[in-house]
Amino acid sequence: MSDTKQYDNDYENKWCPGCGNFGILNAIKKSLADMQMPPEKVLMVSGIGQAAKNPHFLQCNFFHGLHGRALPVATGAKLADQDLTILVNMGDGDCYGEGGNHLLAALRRNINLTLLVHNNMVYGLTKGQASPTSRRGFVTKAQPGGVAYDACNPLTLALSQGAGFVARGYCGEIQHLSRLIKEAVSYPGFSLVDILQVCISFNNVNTYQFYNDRVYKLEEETYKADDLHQAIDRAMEWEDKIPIGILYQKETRGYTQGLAPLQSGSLFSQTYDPEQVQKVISAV
Amino acid sequence: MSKDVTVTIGGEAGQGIQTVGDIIARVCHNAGLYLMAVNDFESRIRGGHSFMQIRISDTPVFAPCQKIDLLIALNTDTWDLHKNEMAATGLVLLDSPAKEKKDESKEKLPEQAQEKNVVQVGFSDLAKDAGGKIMTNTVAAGACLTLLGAPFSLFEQILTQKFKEKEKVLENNITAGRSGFDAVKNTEFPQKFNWPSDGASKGKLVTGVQVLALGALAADCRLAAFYPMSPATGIMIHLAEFMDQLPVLVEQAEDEISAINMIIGASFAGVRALTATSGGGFSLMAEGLGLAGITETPVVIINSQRPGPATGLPTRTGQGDLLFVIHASQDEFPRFVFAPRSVNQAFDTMIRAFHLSEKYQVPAIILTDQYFNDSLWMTTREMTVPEEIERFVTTDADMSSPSEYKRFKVTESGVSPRALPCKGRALVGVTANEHDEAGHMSEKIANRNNMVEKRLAKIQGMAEEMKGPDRYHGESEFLVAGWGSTDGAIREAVDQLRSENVNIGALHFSDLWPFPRKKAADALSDCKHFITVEHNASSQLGLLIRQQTGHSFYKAICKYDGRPFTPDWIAKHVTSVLEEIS
Repeated sequence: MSDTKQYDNDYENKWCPGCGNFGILNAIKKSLADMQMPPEKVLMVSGIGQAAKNPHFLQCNFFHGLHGRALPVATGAKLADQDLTILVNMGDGDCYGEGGNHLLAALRRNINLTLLVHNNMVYGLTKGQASPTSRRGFVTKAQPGGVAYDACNPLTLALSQGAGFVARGYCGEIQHLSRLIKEAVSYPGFSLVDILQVCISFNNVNTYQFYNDRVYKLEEETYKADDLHQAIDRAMEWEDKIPIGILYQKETRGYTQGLAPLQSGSLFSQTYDPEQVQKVISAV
Repeated sequence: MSKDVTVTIGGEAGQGIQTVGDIIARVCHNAGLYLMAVNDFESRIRGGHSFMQIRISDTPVFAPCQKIDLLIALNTDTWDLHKNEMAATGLVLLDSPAKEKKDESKEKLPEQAQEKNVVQVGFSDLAKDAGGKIMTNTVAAGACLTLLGAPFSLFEQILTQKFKEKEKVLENNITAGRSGFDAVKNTEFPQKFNWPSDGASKGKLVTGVQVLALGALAADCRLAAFYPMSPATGIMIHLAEFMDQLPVLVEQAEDEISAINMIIGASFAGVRALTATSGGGFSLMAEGLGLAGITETPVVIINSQRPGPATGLPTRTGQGDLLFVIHASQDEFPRFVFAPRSVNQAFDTMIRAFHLSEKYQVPAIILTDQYFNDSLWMTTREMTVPEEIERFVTTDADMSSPSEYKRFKVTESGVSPRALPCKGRALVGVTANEHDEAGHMSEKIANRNNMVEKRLAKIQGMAEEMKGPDRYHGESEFLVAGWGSTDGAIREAVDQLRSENVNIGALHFSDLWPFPRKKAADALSDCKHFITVEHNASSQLGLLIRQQTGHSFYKAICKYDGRPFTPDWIAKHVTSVLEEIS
């Protein structure tokens, strides 16, 4: 096993002490180390939010973009150079709220990206408003009477849209999470890992205690991740028991595999051929 | 005396107006005549009124003409709508179905039939006789070409090219074309061309969208992401034709926000990337434009303007976005804005925009419009691709210590050496937040000031790249100032006025931002007055010139009805302004 210290940098961390993001950060470092992926071979792409700051706290290449827009940036980068290993870090508001349309498109495109959603069911950066995954009744300053509608379920959403790799992790289970991330990165299509994340500042419902009382690991059961209907059933469990692990995995054909311009290598790696370009233009 | 004929083909959307126009244009083009054609259509797939206006001449033409010499009316609405635009010697060919028997039709269409310049031709009936109503277009094209004096053999050649795969269809179309030819062979039309016998075309016929796509290829654009929006979609449709011949990928994004973020991602990863949209889509891209600005990622964005705000007139033309694109997105960052005046310049501008965007690591915006994009133009110049593409990127080999690489290193020029991610030991980090030299978020006062100043420092070098206005009789007492696609119409208006001994010239702006302040001021310093001519309501170029040079336009001639300028229209309005001055 390689050293996770190679991914440390000296940039000051800006999260609240005790934030669930630390667990996720450590799990990412561990998975990268396990995959023996040197920092210079990693590209982290993120949106805006506490989760999206993640790449700053890692020694790697990174693009920290706009709220909700990490997936299009990552998609563009991957289409330009399919040899890149790209991990996308987003929060629940970032990914399921502002970036919802991009998630739908990414699920359909099935480009080989790994999406890690730090899902703490609340907006952290803007100080505690409801997010798309906040449960009904969750009280905030912006929703003083409690959230009046049901939470979005990103897992059933992804499953219903034909996603080939859908998993859930928990920031309190770092070993387990790092294994999920590893599996997700090695999956040759679009992979979603929704990560239950504790927010110690703005979510006093979904705490470490809350999750520790409910979370169970799918792989410790006889569960097989190849049945879509079972996966949907498990993805809907919440009140008493919450499953973590790979909910569903199937073989899919990645989008870039069939694209004509990528047959001779990545767009990036192909050389400019003035003769060929001139020929094509003159033939018009 | 040169011949200059305007043919208008009008009817409902779905009647195949463009097919007729396309055949006529190709026959004239192959025979060595010059032409340009404007497409005028509504935002609908069937019905309504559409027309294609082809101006054919034995000398080059760069703008549509106001007067119609020959109107092919595939329905009676076309005649009603265009009758006031007919030239004194103009002729109308009106489709008259047989079921409205000749005698009855005289009562039914008394107005049209009584006009001496209206000839009723049973386009659709002749087509049915030849094998199907679908060939109405071929009959109409045949009739039109006869009147222009075209030999049938040239027409037959084009039909053969068009239908070479299907023998029976070709045969029927030739019969249909012949019947159109014969139907009007005894009709007088004063504007016949002397058809060159050698039949060598003088150049290429291209649409604006096609040239923008070819320019992108010549600029080595690798990824083009877009969301469909008129009038820009055609650019991407044309680019997509080359995906199996060149390393270029066209990706239809889920929305414009995604399109701009995708090209930023692609450019960050190391390939040249493009998006194309219209004002509405550009509005959605505004935040992404700022992202390219603060992350100093080169991207090229084509905004093909149409009248707005919001949905506006989707299939019409306008120049209302100049000040918007110069200022779009919050706060301040450098960008380039270009507005090519012709297909030749559009091709060159694509190459130049990609080059300068990478050289200065800033977004480059190209403003075109519906008129430019959808019109058919003739270019007599070879479209030459660059020998090599300079990429302005740095690698580990250029660095003494790659591990200390900083993407946003402060330099005097404002341009930092640009490494690409995952291509070496140098780590590349960028963020939409204000950041330090290494690309990490920073709120320190000194750092913020340094970064703002670093980005803005690029403007000096960028400004030096900008060309001043193109001068046409620039030493004149009066000048007309315009930008973008209106150049052809403005020049011709100037020619008209000069032939009437008016001391007038034109300044045409293609490089708009950073504004070529000194060069513009110099070009304006000697004229008595200048008048702006623009497709917007407030004279945005005029305002920009005043802001940047202190020179004020005497009057603005603004047209915002969504229809292109004609030289006559401009000349008429300029004349009344000049009368006011004197």
